[in-house]
Amino acid sequence: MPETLKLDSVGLHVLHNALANVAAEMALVMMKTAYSTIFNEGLDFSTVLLDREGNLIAEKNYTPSMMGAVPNTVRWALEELGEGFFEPGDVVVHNDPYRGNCHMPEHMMMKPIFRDGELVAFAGCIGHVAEIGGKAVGSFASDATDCYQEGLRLPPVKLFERGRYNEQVWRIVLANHRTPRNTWGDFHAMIGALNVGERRMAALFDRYGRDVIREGSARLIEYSERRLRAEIAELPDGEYSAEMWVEDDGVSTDPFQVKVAVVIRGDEVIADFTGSSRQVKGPMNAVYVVAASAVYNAVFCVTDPMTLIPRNSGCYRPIRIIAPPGTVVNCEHPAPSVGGNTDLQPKLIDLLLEALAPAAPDMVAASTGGSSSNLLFGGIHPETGQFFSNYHYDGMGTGATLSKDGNDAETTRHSNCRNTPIEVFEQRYPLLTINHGLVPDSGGPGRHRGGLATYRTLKVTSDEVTFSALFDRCKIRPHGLADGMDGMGSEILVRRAGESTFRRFDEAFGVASPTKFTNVVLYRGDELYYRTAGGGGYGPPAERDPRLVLADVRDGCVSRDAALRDYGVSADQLEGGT
Amino acid sequence: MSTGEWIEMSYVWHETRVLNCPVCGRLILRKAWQFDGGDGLLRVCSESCEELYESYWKHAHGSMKGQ
Amino acid sequence: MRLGVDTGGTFSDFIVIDESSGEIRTAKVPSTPSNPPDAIRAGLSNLASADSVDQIVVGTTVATNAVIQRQGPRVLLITNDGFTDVPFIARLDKERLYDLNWSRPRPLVLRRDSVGVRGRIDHQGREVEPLDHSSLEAIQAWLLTQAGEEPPVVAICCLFSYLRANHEQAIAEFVRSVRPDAVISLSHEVSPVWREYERASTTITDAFIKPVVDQYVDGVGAELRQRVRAGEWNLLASNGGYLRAEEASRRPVRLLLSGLAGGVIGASFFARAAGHPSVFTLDMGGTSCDIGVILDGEQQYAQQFQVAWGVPVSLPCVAVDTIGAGGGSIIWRDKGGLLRVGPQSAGAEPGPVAYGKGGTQPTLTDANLALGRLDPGYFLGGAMQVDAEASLRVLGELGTGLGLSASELALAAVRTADENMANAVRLIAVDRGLDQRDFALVAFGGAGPLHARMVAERLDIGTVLIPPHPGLCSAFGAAIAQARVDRVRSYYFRSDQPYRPQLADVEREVVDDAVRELRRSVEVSEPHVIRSAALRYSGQNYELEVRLPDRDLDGEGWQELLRRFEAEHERQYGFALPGEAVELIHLRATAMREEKPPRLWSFPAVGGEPGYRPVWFGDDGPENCAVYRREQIPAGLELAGPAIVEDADSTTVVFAGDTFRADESGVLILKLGGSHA
Repeated sequence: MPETLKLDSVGLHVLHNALANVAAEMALVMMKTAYSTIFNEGLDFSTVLLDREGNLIAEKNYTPSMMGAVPNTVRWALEELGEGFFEPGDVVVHNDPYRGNCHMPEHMMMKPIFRDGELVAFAGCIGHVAEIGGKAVGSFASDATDCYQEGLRLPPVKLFERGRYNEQVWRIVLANHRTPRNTWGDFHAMIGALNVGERRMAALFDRYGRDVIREGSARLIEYSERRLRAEIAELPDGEYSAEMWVEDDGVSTDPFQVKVAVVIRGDEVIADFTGSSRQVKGPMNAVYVVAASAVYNAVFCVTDPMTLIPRNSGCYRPIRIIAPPGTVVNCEHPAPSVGGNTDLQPKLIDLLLEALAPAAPDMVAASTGGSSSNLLFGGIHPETGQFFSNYHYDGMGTGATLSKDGNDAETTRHSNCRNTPIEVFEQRYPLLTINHGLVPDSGGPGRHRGGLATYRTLKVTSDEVTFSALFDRCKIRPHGLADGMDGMGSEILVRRAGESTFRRFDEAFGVASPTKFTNVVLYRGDELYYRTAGGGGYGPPAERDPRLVLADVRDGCVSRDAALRDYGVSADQLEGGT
Repeated sequence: MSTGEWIEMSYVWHETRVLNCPVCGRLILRKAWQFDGGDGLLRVCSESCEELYESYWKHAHGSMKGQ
Repeated sequence: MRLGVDTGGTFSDFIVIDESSGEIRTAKVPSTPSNPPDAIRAGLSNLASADSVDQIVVGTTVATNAVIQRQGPRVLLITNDGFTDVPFIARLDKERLYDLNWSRPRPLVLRRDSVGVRGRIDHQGREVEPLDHSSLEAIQAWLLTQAGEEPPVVAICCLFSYLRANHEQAIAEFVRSVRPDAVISLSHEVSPVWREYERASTTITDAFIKPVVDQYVDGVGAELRQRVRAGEWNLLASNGGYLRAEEASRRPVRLLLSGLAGGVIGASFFARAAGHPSVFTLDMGGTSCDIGVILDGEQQYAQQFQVAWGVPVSLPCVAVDTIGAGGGSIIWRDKGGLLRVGPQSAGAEPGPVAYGKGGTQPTLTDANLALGRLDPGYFLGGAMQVDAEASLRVLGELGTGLGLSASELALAAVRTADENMANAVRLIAVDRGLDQRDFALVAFGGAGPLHARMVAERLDIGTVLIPPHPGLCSAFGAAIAQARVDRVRSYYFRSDQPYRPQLADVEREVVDDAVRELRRSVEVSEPHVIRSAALRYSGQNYELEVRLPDRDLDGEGWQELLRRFEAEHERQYGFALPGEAVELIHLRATAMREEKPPRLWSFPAVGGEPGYRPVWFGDDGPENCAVYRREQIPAGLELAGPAIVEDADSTTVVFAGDTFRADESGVLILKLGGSHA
């Protein structure tokens, strides 16, 4: 006998919490049982609840990069397949970037929820599966020229049909991933989460009844939309533009451009990317949901930084995106896109914040390091004889703001993945960490300084390890805001055993780009060094309080030379005076 | 006042290609919203996209050439 | 005679248990964080026969407060050259995703005070680079000039020191040779567990709080020695065990968050006494609600906790989750018109509107006063005057904006808080793979018994237990705590490698370590030792805790352990992977002194008729409800709701259809009516 829930200001909040809790429970299950580190240490996944039309009603989203996908991907799959395609006990999976996944490794799964024979809702989840085949170990082909080289692409297909394994699909998938055992484990973790979602939703339907949940969800969506419109309305109307160059795409060394005009009119925002370059040869293309994620991210930074507005379809409605098909922000088949999610997205967010600076000067920041600093490697482990592969990334500097310095060693804006501790890393991989620290002078000078980047040196201690990398912001550095200066650029270098100097990878191996390459083999004793990019500064450096500069020098964040050169502060003089 | 209408797109189960809305870039799957864009018929993803076209896109980029 | 003390943010609670007579005496005094011994003195002088106490356990917040307020010395961190930024890089993640003005919390050490020495141990404990003594000279300068007159405070943390500690030991020797007065914390002693950032954070925190804890132990010790017969006294640790005070100050990081453990231990005792070995514990105070789990009579432990975001400590502790829901939680209306409760709190200052200390926003306490669930005339047993009219007025004002009367708003707020707490408990259950319906709910703290019944209903839990003196449960837990030491050491090994005897040796060392540490607190001829290991399938990222077989971890013992792991994996996750490689990650040993469980005390009832007053339970308006003083209820008599049961420090709400009785153990057992049999 369902309990009465009045859908008033009290009941709606109760319903929202109940739905959010279901998504949170799904997320816990996924985290605890998945195999890929990227799931449980990286938290690179999301869980969602949707209504029967595929509108998002609740989510547990650890990774902002999926924000564009969660309100669109399931709905599109539902539209394409049609409601009649789904039966109780089905689980559908797909990772097709042209159909709404952020890039090939992300897999979206959805499970229809029925009640008295009628479809009432969907439980869904999106997660990054570590290895999906393709030309590069770790499925991150920095020089891919099409989606086929990036891995196995699945259009929406059933993994479970009426509660039973759709074995034919599983066999194909497992035969095309290099670490099928991991895929098996990760897929089961995701399916487990969906089952939890189904059970908990059934309990909610028991408790409150279908009508209340249906109407309540609709009202929650209206509520969130109203809330966000109210926040947008407080921003000054206008057209705010910005443009940027991105240094290369992994295949061609020509830079490409992204332009955006952000139009704030009344209670809605339009982000218009018209004028951006055509889609590029290498995998730096973004698909629609990636451009959308970036836009949602930047808009939330200036309207709802504390995440007070419940996240559902409603809070995405007032944000309208124009991503012209065939451009680098909405590439079409068969353009490669693996780096669009990891490396174009953070730069898009930086770009949008730069555009929005005049509208919300106290809520934006200068550029971050703007790259996930992707380093993939794999090989045979000498101690176990087993194949290993890893997706390594690192922290970078974030941009300074109107009121504070940037943060050091932080993940990109679009993710919140933690690093792997050195003691865990060295247990797992035949690589010795020679050093790992913050890069002095990497923060863009400004009244407020950009945050510092990180560096790391690794030495190969097995016979051979195969590396692929996708770094960025090496040639085109993270920019400052309001006369703040650029952050230091990134780099990735190699020193072969017996050599005395570190060299760029294009010099040492003849690859096209110094920051983007695939399947380079390094041997015992070879060393790899990388440095991520620092954050941009805010405000003229001459306006920085000299005492802060002195503290920076004392703490090794800024060198004495840089203090003099960039800030006009002589540390010796100041110290003599104090 | 829109004079547009929903039109069914052909869909076969073995089709691998997808179509993107020419105005906003979203996917167009089973049906498209067709209206007169001022320079021919345009097929977009939804009525809301027609509104976006009329109220913003057209003014920013000129009429889009349709069929 | 046992004395337990719980130091809270606002009040310090004292409980003396006379095991021969069964008598319990209590005292509650305001806390004095600026000079802790004052509160001790005040509390003891309110307690008769405090001088005949022979065991004292104090739960203190001095360590936690020092960390949260960052009141401490400059710490020198000595680590490997090339890795001095480990505390600053941390784990890369951020607490807020969209707040671009959020700053990473600073570690407790300055970058200029993080110094590296040349030397390196690898993941197999091999020395790949010997310790370079010439690189120690930079440290000498720091010790002599930066530290000045004060004893230098030093944390030493080298990579893989849990496998081979010689570098850390040599560095410590060097430091002592330059400054014999140095206060040193060594990571391989503090927390020999992998993950260098968390271990460094734990070690730095240990060093950071040493001076303030030393001062505390001296000051409070002096006060206690004057007043009580017992020569020794003890401090409650985060694992729920007690440590002799002088021993505790050797490694004070063990005292962090110990206050949370006290409540769980107290609740655990009463839960068992009332016949419910598996319970959730709900400790709701003024600001927050702490939730624990007891499974088959055993507290659940976590291997790591955060003192605050950005200060992780990798030590075993009683697993408690804290949510921002307390009596002082503010009731407010968000920009979109939805009713919200918390997480902001009015705390004790200004506190609820009814306190009359300047609070202008209604809180849960105000709501409970407005509903008649709390008696303004008997607040804190009559010790405090509160103005329920003020509560009603402010609720009425807020209610106008929401289209609700004061009482409707109060009811809605209380329900919202109940939902929030129930959601939190449900997530904890899922996280631990438990079905909360199999559990009872033990509620205590000032506000726990007020809300427990509704929280239980939301969770399909049929039984609520309210310990005697529910507001003092943490002090009670301190009083009955046992001496307990938990040690863990990271040691990596795989099932697809040939067995090596070193495994048994290391395991024995962990046990010896634990027993040795126990003996520094208590005399014990035959310590009770629990040995376990953390294992997982190669490729997974979460370990399962598995008890070791009752034999050495030799070749056969190792095989038995692997079998137990598979069975446990099957049980928790529903599947096993026979033939797949299994990794050993940690070895753990717990050493305890077996103690007789404290005697059950009888609580003679004074009898008498209940009072009556109007109380709101549902939307239909207030009901004339029976109000009992706890001491009126004789053991065994079953009573029916609706009812209010008042203790001096807490109030229990019983709904119509429920039944309740006072158990022999003094516990109030509430059985929910309706569909909960």
